[in-house]
Amino acid sequence: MLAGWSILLFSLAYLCLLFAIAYYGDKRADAGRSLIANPYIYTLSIAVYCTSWTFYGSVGRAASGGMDFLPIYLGPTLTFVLWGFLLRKIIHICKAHRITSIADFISSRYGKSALLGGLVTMIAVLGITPYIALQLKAVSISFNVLVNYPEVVMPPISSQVPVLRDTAFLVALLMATFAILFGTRHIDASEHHEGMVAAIAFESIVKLVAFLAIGIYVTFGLYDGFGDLFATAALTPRIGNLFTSSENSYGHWPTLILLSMAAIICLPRQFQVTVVENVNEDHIRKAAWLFPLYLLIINIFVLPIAIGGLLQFPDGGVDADTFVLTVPMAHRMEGLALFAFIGGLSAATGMVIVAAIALSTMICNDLVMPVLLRLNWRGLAERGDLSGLLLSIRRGSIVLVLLLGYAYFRFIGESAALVTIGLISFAAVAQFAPAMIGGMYWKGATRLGAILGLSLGFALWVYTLLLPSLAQSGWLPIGFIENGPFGIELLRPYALFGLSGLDNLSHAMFWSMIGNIGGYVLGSLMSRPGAIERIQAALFVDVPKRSGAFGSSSFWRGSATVADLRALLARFIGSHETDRVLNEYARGRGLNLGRLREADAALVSFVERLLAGAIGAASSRVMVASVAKGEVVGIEEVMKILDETSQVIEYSHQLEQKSRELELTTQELRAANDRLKELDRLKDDFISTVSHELRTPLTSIRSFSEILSDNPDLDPAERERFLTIVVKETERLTRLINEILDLAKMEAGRMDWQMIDIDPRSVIDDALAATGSLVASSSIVLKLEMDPWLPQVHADRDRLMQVIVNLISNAVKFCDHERGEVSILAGQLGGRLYIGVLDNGPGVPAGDRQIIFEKFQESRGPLVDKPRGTGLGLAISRQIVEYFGGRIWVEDAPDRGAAFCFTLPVSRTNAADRPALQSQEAL
Amino acid sequence: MNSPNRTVERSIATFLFGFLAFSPPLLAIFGAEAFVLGLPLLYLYLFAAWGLIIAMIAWIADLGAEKPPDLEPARRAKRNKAD
Repeated sequence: MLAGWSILLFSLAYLCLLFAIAYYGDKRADAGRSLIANPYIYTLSIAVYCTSWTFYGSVGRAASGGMDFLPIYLGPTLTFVLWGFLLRKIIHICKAHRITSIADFISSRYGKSALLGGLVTMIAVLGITPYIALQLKAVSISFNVLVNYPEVVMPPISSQVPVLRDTAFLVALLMATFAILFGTRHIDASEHHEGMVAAIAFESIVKLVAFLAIGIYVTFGLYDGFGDLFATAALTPRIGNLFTSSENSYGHWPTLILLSMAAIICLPRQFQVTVVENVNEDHIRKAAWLFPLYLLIINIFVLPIAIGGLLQFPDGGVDADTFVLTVPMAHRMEGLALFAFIGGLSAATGMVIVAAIALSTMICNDLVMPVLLRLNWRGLAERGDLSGLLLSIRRGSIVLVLLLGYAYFRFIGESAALVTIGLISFAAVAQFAPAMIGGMYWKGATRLGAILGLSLGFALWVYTLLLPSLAQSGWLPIGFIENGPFGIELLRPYALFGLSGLDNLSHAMFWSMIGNIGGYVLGSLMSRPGAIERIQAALFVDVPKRSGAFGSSSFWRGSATVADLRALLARFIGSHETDRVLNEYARGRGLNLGRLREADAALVSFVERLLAGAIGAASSRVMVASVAKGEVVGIEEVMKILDETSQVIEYSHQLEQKSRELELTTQELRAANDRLKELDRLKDDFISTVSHELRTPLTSIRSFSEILSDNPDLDPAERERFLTIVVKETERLTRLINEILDLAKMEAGRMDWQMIDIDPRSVIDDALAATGSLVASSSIVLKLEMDPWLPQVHADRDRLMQVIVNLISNAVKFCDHERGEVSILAGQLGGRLYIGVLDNGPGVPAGDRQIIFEKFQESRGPLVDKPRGTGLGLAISRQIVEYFGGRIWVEDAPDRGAAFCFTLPVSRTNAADRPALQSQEAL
Repeated sequence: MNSPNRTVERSIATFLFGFLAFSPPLLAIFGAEAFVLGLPLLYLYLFAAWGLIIAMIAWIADLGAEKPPDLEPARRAKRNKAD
């Protein structure tokens, strides 16, 4: 006999067992021997997805819609197919940023926006409320059904019962107490609730075994296996049609699959167990197929139980949602019915506890704290330990969430089927999917886009699903659904803008996703992301690439003192915990925080992430900003740090520069090569000319010597003449060779120069003396015009004399033969020493004035028939003059003939004497 | 051979297969009034396809897993170096 009190006792004992498991789990975690660090417990904790909806609701759905209950489990399977690059990436991001809720995830991705976090929290709370109502309803009904054992009677509608005597209300309070005990015993920076996870995993086993027990009892106890069951069912056309009818429509399956695909990651409780409570990223590898397998196993008996129930209660007086309980009851299986109740209780409590904890974290971190910080963070900052405040906010939030759920159940959800209520929640949380998944793969998505998309999607969800459900419960006139608001047909919530032919859910999903994705994409394309948004976008999108760089990636440019940071942390997570994590951090980096006064950007960033675990990313940023003196980096720096394009541009700039340099070098090399070729050609020319020049005197010496040798009886006068020629040619040869040697030395830079300050006057005198015999031997008049004062020059005396001698002997050679006249001018020209040697010969044609200074080049004047010099004199003179820093050239003499002139820079020692001399001259 | 890209490609192929397998036209075909091994065709088909997808996930996940022997020599080398 099952009395109310014994059921209660069993329930309480079960809940106490859960709590014991949770307590043990926490103890083990504190001792460092985690109970949950394996993929199997992880999988079972993800199975919190299966709630009363699965346990009771699926059977109810199957009883009216055949296989319609199934897509809700196929969707998660398909999502888990993509675990490798979807789930793992989410987990990776969350671990790196210490993200503890879906609100935190979205807010963090879009520049740690408090507004976005608050929006997500609001949607989540409103969206999950029906879901929690569903659990309360399931527990309350199942209790009220079981309490009448062995009679199968449907309980009265609870709105007829006073609130305080309503089972659902008591269940809500009881669950709130449990959620508070499980989830808010202390504030932990990592938000891991190991004990809770262990309890949830245990509950997943209980509900699976309970459900399988009922299924096996129905299939093999009441009937003779599947074949018998289905064959019996097929005899009744109404039941048989459920699973074998070509008239069934499957048009809404894609909607349900997509919805549940989104739900498995967007539901706050799924996010909590799959992502936040994950202790090892690699566990997901096994969970990826174990979790779908769990879903498959728990669903095998849904249809058999539904059929068994329909066969058992053919008159429809029993709510199909209670078949799991009522079928064993009808067969007086007391223990099995109680087990089924406990299974349903596990399914409900698991969901409510995790959802309440997840929502309370979101409400606290993303809704209440930002508001408190904004309103009066100074007052808040003055308070000492804030972890107590945080805990109170969370506990209050849990109670609030459950009371909201109860209110929805009592005032709205009483009449609806479990699955219908649940799907409203799914549609609400599916609104997170675009901002969440888009944010992980699209860097260009911005805060504005996310806000726009979420708001539009949420508004359309409210309009096409929530408001109609209010209308159906009588809170709004039913005309709202039938005729549209204010009778505007176009705005009917189940046929918006005349869209009909879809089921209500597909219709709502169609419109809300158009609004959501459209707003998200358009908003993102129309706005420019800020600095933090860009950083976060890059961190979220490129997470696998940057996994190593997380510790150092930060946008805090400034610094804070270690003491400030320590105090800040201590206020939120307690001083003991603060010391522990900071010491761990210091040990990991080989720092001594005791001695360190200023915290670097990496430590500030570390503290920010740590704090984000406790109070959410947006609030954490505000708090850290209050103690860190530096500001956030500017947009240009962000671009520089993160924008890969800028790196590419930089790189290509470097390449361009390199290529320009290469081009330049090539040009230089080509010029050098040309020059070398030219020099090579000149050298060849030089050698051939030299050989030619040497051969001329040699030939004449040889021929005259042969004549002398062959004709011993030569006339003495003739012999004398020949000998003179030989001697003269030999001298010329010697001179030629000397000059070639000089030139070669000068060109090679190996000449010994004896540079001294000399008086040009004496050099000119010596030169005249040296050429005296040459001049005397011809009938040439030599004139000398010298300034009374000539500046000293810095030069090699012998070489300078060689130049003058060269020029004089040249002039003598080329001047008029009859009335030869050579003038030597010496003076100053433009602050330089000027010496000119003029003759009255044929002159040098303008075209030859450059080349006569080249080697072996003589002016091929009309009167010149044979070379009269070595052809090296002028080349040597130019070398010498240019070595002294002067210039040599030829021009026309005043009346006729050529004027060879050169200038030399004056010596620096003149500077003192000259003005004195000038003043003397002036006198 | 089993590079990360391969794993991703296989995952996407499995995903598309799953989405196709549960698409309304195929469901309508298998929703015929027929029994196989005493089970309704649709019931059998859905669970078989589902089971197949789960097996494929398990197979892909197993192939993509880092084989411990690959890591061990590297670790040992690192240790030796440290010594």
